[in-house]
Amino acid sequence: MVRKAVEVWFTFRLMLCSLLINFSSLTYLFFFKDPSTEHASEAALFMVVTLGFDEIMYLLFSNLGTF
Amino acid sequence: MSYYIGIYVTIGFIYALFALIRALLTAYSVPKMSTKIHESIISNIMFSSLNDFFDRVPLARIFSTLSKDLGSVDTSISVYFNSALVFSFLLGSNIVVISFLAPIYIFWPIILVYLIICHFLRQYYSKPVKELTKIEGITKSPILSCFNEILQGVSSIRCFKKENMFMIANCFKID
Repeated sequence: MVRKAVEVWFTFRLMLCSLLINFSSLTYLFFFKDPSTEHASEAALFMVVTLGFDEIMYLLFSNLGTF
Repeated sequence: MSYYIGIYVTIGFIYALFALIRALLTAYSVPKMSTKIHESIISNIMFSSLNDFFDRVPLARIFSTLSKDLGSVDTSISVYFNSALVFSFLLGSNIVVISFLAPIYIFWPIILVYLIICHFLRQYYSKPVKELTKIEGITKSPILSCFNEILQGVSSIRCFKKENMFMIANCFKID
């Protein structure tokens, strides 16, 4: 129970930190990226990579925590 | 067409190379880690003082450390180590892709700040997890210790007809 509470606390803090990258990447895509169609695939790849960042960090840290 | 196939093949080769590096790292480091921990435990037990250590630490806890804990080092640690390597490589590749797709001067500072915060968060998180694991190990140990001592002294317990007393003590520890 206590272990679960610690894990939830950690996940919540990590997700809050991840908002930093998520919001900045979305701001960049919406307001600063060239909206022409040639850059659509680049923008999609960028979005996938940045929005998946938090999940990778969570999985990395949970594995390192158990390790 | 062949240009895109070339890129695809290059990505495949890079993936295979990193998988090989990961497998080699795991195969090399896990037995070494296990041997080192085992040697450290054995030397600590062998050179510990008879009066102080063996009176204070129950025998079952020593057995548990040498059997269960080393077993988990051999089996589950390798899995977690492998997964940690996979996610480290993924993280590295993500950072490389981001630096190609977006201006470096915007995203590098953000990623750096994020990684620093995560590092401190992880340090803050790993301490209670380590302590909780230790507490779990210690709380399980008295049951094993009691059972082991009863088994060793079963003839004396029967001789003095104290079976009920030890049964109640064991049940109390299990509850």
